[in-house]
Amino acid sequence: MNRTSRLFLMGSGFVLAAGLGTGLVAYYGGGLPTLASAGRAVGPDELKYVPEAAAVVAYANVRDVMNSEFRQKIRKVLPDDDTKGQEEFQRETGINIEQDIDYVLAWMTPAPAVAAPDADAKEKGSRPVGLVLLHGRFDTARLEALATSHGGVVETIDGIRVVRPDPAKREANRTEVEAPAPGDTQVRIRRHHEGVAPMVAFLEPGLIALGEEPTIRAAIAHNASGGRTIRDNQEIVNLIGDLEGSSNVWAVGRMDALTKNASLPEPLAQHLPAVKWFSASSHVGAGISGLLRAEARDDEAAKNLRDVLQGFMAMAKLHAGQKPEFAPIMQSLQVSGTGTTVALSFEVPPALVDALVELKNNAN
Amino acid sequence: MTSAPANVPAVAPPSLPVGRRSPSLWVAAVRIFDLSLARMLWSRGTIFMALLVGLPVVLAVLVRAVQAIGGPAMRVDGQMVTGPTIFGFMVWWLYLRFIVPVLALYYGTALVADEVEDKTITYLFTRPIPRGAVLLGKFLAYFVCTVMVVLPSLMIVYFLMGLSGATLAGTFPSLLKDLGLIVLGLLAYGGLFAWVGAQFKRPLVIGLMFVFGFEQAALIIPGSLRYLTVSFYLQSIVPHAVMGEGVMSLLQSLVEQKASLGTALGMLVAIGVAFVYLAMRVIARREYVLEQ
Repeated sequence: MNRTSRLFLMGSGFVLAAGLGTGLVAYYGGGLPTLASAGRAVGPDELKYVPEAAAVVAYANVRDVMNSEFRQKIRKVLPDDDTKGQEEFQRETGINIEQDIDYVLAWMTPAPAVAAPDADAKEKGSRPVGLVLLHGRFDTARLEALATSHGGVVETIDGIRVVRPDPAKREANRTEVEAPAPGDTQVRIRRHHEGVAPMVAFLEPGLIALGEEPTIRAAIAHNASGGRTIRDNQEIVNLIGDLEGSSNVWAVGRMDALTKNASLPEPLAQHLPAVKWFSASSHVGAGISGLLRAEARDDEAAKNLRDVLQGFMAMAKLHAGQKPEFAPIMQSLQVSGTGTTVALSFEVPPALVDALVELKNNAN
Repeated sequence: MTSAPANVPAVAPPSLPVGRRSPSLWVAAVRIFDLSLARMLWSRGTIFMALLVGLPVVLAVLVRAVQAIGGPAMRVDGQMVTGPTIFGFMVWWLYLRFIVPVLALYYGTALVADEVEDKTITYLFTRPIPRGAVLLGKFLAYFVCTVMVVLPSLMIVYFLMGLSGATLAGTFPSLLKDLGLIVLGLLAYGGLFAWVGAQFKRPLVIGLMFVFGFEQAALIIPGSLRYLTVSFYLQSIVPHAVMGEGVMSLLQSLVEQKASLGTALGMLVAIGVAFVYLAMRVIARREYVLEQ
């Protein structure tokens, strides 16, 4: 064998070994960043506030969506009330929803990040808690003034200004004495269970957090302590890395967190426990395209889920025959996937959006 | 006449020099392999092979580039297709149904036919090696050559295309199956066409008729004819749902037959090994008359 042949075989062997080695490390080591996400931090910078235990993380590029051709078309047929509501909101807060918000990041954890000290802790522990972060241009002073004029108080937690309802007023409002009804001598005392207090925090210039007080306090403390974040969860990072860039609205998470209290069709509900992770993404442009993806426990579970989805699609397509205007959407529905991955994609083409807008105009 | 003393050990008769001893089948095959590999890698077929395996890579780069610049989603029959779907489609239709059979046909039939055509087979047959070793060595060279060219190509396509909208950890097992399928395909088709090349006078025509005529027809004809094809066994273990995703494919999947994993794997290996053995027998017994 001559030197050139040896070099060629070594080159081929290197490509194979590198590919197989990378795949093996990803498979046994819980995943590696994919080609799309290699070399840079995945997702928005605000993921640093999201705790590692978050079950669902969602993101929407509001600016992209608002500037999209789809949104412009829909805006033309929106009722005037919608526009008036936005104008009123802007007058009050100084925030133009169409222009001032760049993106929104939200997450949900199945249990509170910190134990609430009050009596609601027990109740709170049984439901998920979440937080919403808004990134954009906000007039902080105006928002603080608005909050105080409505009975809020401004405080500082670890150097971060927060607005919350006045605790004194809240306590005073908690019990209410009702006058006896005619013919009744009994005085009734009604207790209001208001739940956990809401809070708004100005985390950074141009970044607002909306949520419940304990969750926001936990997020602030978590960020200050430099604890583990969602970026330390390699599976979620991989999912986000796959979605960003190709979509302007997405959500990723653990399926168990989503289906715990959801009422789903029986055949689908039977197969969902076999799903570990899910992701949903959409690109809003001239039309809308979307992709729902699930990561099953094993190949067999993924195959079964694909079969169930194909059965649903077949039924849906048969029913869609009665409404030909929706035929393009039904035709775009596609089940795909390899290995443990199951994917369902769809698309609302721009032509269909035009047709729906025209239909709405005619109806008006 | 003198006789050797009883206490002097008997001297063994002088044996042939080591270099002149007829090598075993395996040693001879390895020597032929060493000789043939470089010729196969840098022959006139190299450009053909490069074009074949380069085609999917170029397609993957193009699709990826279109995705990167935010181009419209790719559609087949009006349906949007994602990266892993395109990858699965390429593995089945481009690699397993086209590149693997065509490469095996081109190189497999040429193992003996080229030597006959170039009138160099005489030089190989005059060497003190078993005739079967000539074919075995050349087949090994074909196998290593094609495997080392096709698998890296698939690996590149996977990293360009197969990960779009999927995770590396999630799709890696199916990539391993794809790589294994290609190796098995090259073995089975290669063995078959090596025998065709050794047995028949116009092997290329027969091979083309088999791959693009008989196999295509046998897969859609109901009955047992499909068991006589290589692609049936490959199709039985291909991991991708690439036969289409609509209602029609759902109906097709209800009636389609598949061999079990063990049967398919066993048959692909058996086809390759059996036909290489048959080709070795043919070359060992046949008299090749060279046209002057």
